[in-house]
This record gives sequence, C-alpha cells and structure tokens, in this order.
Amino acid sequence: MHRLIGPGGLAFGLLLWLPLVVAIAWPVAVLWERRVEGRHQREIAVLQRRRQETNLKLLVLQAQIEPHFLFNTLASLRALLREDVTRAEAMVDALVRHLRAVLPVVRTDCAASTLSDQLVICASYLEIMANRMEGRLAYGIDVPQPLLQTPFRPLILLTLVENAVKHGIEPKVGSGRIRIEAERIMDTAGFAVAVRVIDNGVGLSRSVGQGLGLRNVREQLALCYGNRAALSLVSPPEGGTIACLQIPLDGFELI
Amino acid sequence: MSPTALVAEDEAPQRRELCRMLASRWPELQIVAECSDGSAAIAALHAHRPTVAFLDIRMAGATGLEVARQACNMAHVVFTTAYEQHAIEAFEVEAVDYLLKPVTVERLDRTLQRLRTRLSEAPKDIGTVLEAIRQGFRCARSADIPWITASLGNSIKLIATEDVLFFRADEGCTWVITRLEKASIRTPLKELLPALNPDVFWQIHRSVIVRVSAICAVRRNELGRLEIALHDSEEVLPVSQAFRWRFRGM
Repeated sequence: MHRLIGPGGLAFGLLLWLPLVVAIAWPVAVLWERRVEGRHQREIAVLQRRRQETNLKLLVLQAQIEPHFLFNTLASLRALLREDVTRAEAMVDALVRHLRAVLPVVRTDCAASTLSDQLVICASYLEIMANRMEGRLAYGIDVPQPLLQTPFRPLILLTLVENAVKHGIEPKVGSGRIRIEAERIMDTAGFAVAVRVIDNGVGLSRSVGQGLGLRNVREQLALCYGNRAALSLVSPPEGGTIACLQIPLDGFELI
Repeated sequence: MSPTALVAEDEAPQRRELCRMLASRWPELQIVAECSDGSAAIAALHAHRPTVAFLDIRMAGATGLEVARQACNMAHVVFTTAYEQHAIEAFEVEAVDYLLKPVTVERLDRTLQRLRTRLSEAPKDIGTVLEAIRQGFRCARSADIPWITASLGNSIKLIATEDVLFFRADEGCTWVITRLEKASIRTPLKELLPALNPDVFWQIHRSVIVRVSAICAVRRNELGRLEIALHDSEEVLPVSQAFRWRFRGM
C-alpha cells in the first residue's frame, strides 16, 4: 500500500527542489533571452540598413531633373535652331550628355559613382546654362587629377551648382562666374575631400527659398556618413557664395 | 495707332525667339522694348507705356509678377513660364493670359487672337490673381523654415534649423546658437516663432526660444527660479514665469 504524502510533505519537497530548479533554469533562461535578443538586434540592424538604403534611393530620385530646367533648355534650343545651327547642335549634345549621366543614376550602383562622374554632370549642366544665358555665365573646374577617382555620391554636387546658378548668378543683374575646386584635407577624423562651389553672385539672402535641394543633400550626407561629412554655405564680405562639401575619404587610397 | 509691346525675358536666345515669333504672327505689333531683367522692364514700362507686356515670371531685378503689379492698369499682361504649376493654376482660374515655354505657334496665335479683341478695352485688373499667387508662394514657404541666413562676423552663413540649439534676443538682434557657432539675425523672436515647428522649438522666456531635444535638465536655482541646462552647450537658460506651465509638475 502506498502512503499518501500529506500537505506537509509536499511543502517540504518543494522547499528542497525549488532552489535546485531555479539554479538550473535561471542561467538557461538568461542565455536563451540573450540569444533571442541578439537575433532581434541583428534583424533590427538589417531592417535599418535596408531602410537607410531605401531612403537614400528616394533622396537620389528626388534630386532628378527639374522640369523648369528641361523646358527652358528646350525653349532656348528652339530659338538657336533658327539663328545658329552649330550652337544648337552643341546644346543638343550637352543636353544628351547631361541626361545620359543624370537619368540612369537610380538604376546604377550609387556607391560606384566618382567625383569625376559628378564633375562631368556639372560640366554639362554649366555648358547648357552658359549657352542659355549667353555671356552672363562663365565657369571653370579645377580639381587635382589624383582626386578624380574619389568615390562621390551622385547629384549632391549638381545640387550645389544648380543653387549657385539659380540663387547666385540668375538673380544678379549683369554677368557672373562659377568655379568648382577640390582639395584633400586632413581633419580630426582623418583624410577628407573638400569640394567647393564658388560663385560671385548676389550672395545668400532671404530668397534661398525652401532650400529643398540643400535639405536633400544634408539628409544624404547624414545617412551615408553620419556626422563625419559636412555641408556649409557662406557669403564672404566681398560677396558671392561659397558652398563647401566635406566628405571622409575612408581608406580610399590616392593613386 | 498700331499696338506696342514690351518683351521681358532674361535668357537672350528665348527673348529673340519670342520677338521673332511676334513679328511674324502679328506684324502690326511694334516691339518698343526688349528687357533682360525685371528692373529694366519696370523702367521701360513707364517710359514706353506699351499696349501689351510679355513677362517672364523668373527674372533678376524683379520677378514678372512684380513687374505685372506695376503694369496692372497700363498694359495687357501675358506671362511666360517654363513650369510654375502654382501660378498656372491661378492663371487658369482667373483667365489671365500666359504662354508655356517653349512657345508654340498655335498657342501664341490663340493668345494674340484674344489680345486683338481686347485692345479696345481697358487692361484687366489682375491684382487679385497676383495676390493669390503671392499668398500661395508664402504659404508654401512659411511652415517650418529649414534654413536660416545669419550673420557671422562680416560673412553671411546658411544655418540649418536642425542644428540650432536656441535663439536668444539681445539688444535688437537675435542670436542663433548651434553646437559650433553663434551667429545673429535681425528677425525678432516674435516673427521667428510662427515659422518654427512648435513641437520642436519652445519659447521659455520673453527672449529665449529653445530646441526641446537640446534640453538636458530643468532645475531650480538658489533663488527658486527655473532654469534649463543644455546638451552640447555650457549655457544656462532662464525660464520665465509665463512659460513655467511647460514644465509643470516640477
């Protein structure tokens, strides 16, 4: 015959086993939790990276061709067709070059873009604008050869150049010029490339407007480089505006 | 007397093309002024008193809309624009004449036809539509200014509103303080406040507006007054009686 365990005996048994159960289960639970947490964190990191990439693609998309630019260029072209076929031809060529460089940006790998690619885009834009503004705009690009292959995000530089034309030279009565220059600099975090767009236009004023383009540039820089990249716009006392982009070189070896 | 016209367009090739098209589609129309910027257009308007004014919207000196305000009772106005969605919608509603660039012969003919029938009438008062466009531009601009143009020594610097820790009014000027810089603007706090996002910036004193996320601690000083310590700055900002409610429960 079995003897029934009384309530007192049950309590005694639990008292004996409980510490043992806790001693085994606790580390297991903690380890399990850490594992799950680790997996969650990895998943979160992947999702965050994916979101960052999507955001970047979106920002590049938003920086695409401005309709105002396209229609005005076509209007100038229409005029030149009748009065100067050679110039019209040069303008079509520059426009095609520009569109070829700007339009496929979303499909290609943004990380593969170099400073040299971006200067080509800026040059075709400036050529078109100089042609449209007929003598009111002169420009120059001065970038040392070794810096040309620096990785450089697409369309950021073009935004600064467009701003120099739109807010610097176009509102100026008379003519102006734009210069793009670059140099390698050393700051606290290491080597960086500083690219400057310098114009002698009307300077910063309340007419900066919404500054949507600049906001886009800032967001792209923040997403890509955190606080290691910088954008600054200054109008010195002698007039005009200097837009400066500073981007970390991150182990990029100069040839 | 043959009708006269003023053509204002800042890009020379486009200006010549429009004049050429006008000469071929309306030979009686005499072009009395070709202007490359808005200020020149205003001067020419007063000097020549043309019957019709063709005005580009984006020009140096003065915009086409500003020129039109002067032209209101003098000339029949036709705007030209490449792409100004907002303005075009307003023009459509008020039946104001406009030409989209590149200008086509068919579209120009329609505009010229309408102008010919209107020559005997007084120019239409387009003040209301201009005001509507101005308001529209302002609305699009107001909420949430992303950039502030501030003076830094002898230079002017563009400061992202996102970088501003606080604004402080002091003897007729407003200081803009970021983590790295201290610049000044002429806009008084009172005018600045409506342009800032109220969830992001709080006024805490007659002379102080602070970025909420920059606040590190709110404490009581030895005089029993509330004050604010900031991340990224040594400055301590006062909270005045009128704005204590923001920190109620402290």
